[in-house]
Amino acid sequence: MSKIRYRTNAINVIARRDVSSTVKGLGIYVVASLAFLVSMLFVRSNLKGVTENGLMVMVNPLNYPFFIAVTIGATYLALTSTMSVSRERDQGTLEVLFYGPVDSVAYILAKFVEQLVTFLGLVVVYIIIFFAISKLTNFGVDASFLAMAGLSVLLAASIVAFGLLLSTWCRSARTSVILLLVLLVLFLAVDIVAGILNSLSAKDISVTLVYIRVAVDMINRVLQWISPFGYLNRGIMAISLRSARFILSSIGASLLYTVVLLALAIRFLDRRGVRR
Amino acid sequence: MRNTNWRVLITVLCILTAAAGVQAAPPQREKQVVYGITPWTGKEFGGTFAPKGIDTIYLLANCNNVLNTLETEVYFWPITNEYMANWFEAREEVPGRLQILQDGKEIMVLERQPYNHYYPEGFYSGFSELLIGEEAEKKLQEYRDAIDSYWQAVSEYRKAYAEYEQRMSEILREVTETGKTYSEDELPKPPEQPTPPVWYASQVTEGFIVNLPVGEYLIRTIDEQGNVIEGTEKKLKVFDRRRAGVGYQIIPESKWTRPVQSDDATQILYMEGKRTMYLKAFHASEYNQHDYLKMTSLEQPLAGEGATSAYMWVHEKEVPRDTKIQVLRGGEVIYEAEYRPYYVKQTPGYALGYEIIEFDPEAEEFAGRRPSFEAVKLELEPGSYEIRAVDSSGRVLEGSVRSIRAVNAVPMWQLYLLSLLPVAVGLVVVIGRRRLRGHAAKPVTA
Repeated sequence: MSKIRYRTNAINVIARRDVSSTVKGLGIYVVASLAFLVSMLFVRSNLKGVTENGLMVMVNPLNYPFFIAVTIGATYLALTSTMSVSRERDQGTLEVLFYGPVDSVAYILAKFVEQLVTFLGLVVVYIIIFFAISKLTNFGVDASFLAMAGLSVLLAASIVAFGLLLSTWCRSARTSVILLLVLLVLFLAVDIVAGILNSLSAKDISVTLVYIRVAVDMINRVLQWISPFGYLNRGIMAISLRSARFILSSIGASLLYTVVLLALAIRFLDRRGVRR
Repeated sequence: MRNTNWRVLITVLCILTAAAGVQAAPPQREKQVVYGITPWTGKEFGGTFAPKGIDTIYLLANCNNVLNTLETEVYFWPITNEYMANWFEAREEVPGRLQILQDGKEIMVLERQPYNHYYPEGFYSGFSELLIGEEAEKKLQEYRDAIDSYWQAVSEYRKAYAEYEQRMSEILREVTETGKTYSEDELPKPPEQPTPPVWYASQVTEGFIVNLPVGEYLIRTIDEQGNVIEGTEKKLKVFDRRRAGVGYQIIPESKWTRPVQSDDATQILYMEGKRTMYLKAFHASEYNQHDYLKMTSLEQPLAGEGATSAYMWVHEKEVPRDTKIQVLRGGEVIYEAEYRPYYVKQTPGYALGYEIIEFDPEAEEFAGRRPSFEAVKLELEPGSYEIRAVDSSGRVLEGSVRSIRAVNAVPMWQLYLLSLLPVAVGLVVVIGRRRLRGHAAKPVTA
């Protein structure tokens, strides 16, 4: 068997085993429900806004709740992959696997594929439930929502790859989990704050807020190349501009980002080794 | 002891008064060479200037903008955080030509040209056209002639009115003395009062007319010998809109003073129940917020700061009055509405309220009144619709399509219940697996 076939086989076996284990556990279902509950708060707020004001103009009000649900789901998957890599190293499973026909490339890609497949299943459930919500509320599922659903796969891929990178880079499972959570919260917070500050009317903004906006803008300009949410924003913007060139370049950039993170994760795993 | 206290108090008061005096001192004025800028903002000509401390000027691409190299007194006004120029007391034109460079190479040298602003709908309407060269002189002369004609007409009107009054007095005296009656046709008609010209043309001045494609440039003013005049070198960023479309101002019947705006075609208008609304459509363009605000308010150093990645829609010109709004349902046009004038009538009584009625200039109740607004009225039953603006030839205006949806007031428990569906499925899976495991673990008995 060629090296590629060995690797493909190893990826297939490990990914299948892990997907099966995830689907048979309760965790993913609890997280999906939690994600829906949190996003329902935003749906409720939008619905209340329309009923109280009578008229309201907004981009599809299901997009943001969907984004929240996707972020929660993808973060959970990144956390589980981070913990699973660290646990398998600590328990010696990784060492045993590497005595067989598994190398760092096959292992990292298997973990990545497993989480991506799980996420695809999750996103299908998300779309079904959000479709039901749109029918109940008549918020509607428009092109921007479907584009968001498509881009969410790229977002999940980059978040999972980010988690894998941290799990191979950090010394302990605890450090990698904490670092992953802290960084994702930071990325998300900067993204949300920048969005709020940019939406403020330029005429009403105070001097203090201008300085805060300048600082956040500078941080955001750096983070948009590091944060998975930066790539998502570029994708959303490209779709709203309906520019094929921008859409392709944003998808390309997101894929490249994921590939780079995975390559770094493989490199760190090689450097650190598989022993406890 | 008591004396000492008084002395201390008086000293403190003196220091505080002196300090207050220092605080209230006028800001330091500095003579500077600046660029006076009249940028085209997409809807009108603005006014700003670039003092010494500001090194980049922002202008819109492919349209005429006016720059002028001037010497004036500049000071910083901390209350509003902006540079101010003392144009009234100190404003001197710096002679020379404007050299424009790109990538270090000179691409053009501009001479000052005479120009003025022509306001077809009056000065206060804000909209103006930039006239250059002979056209400017001609329009100004036309305006002067129109004003002269107006004053001539006013003079003739006064004379005619005096004659009319005199004739009326005679008739009145005759009626009183003789008792003779006059029919309406026999009575003299009062002269018609002349109306001043609504349009306006400003004085002709000189400036550099800058019209460049998108790009980054360097500008400087050079003297007759080609030497750069100190303090005139600035960067020039010429930018363009990112998108163009049609923006709507939506006036809800229930809150006519609080209209909502829809600029982006991805935005959806949600409503609850049956609604009546009034729509005004505008040609709109989306610009980078930082560049646009710098262009319009360059004298404010904080304008647009931190907004390099933000974009803003600007409503430019209202669509022509013959534009119609079509309402579609399931892809079929179900209704077409056109612009009409409306009047907001306050309803009498203790309860504060109003009603919006169509304005009829011929009707007696509207005599001496003007319409409150002109818009397209839409009355929509609950449902899902699309609206679009079409011009007089029936062509759909690009970027004018919007969705309108009436929301259903769903009890929240239904949505929360839906959220619990995955966990219910998970429980079924886990319990099912445990049962299966239990069956498999049961010992086989004979």
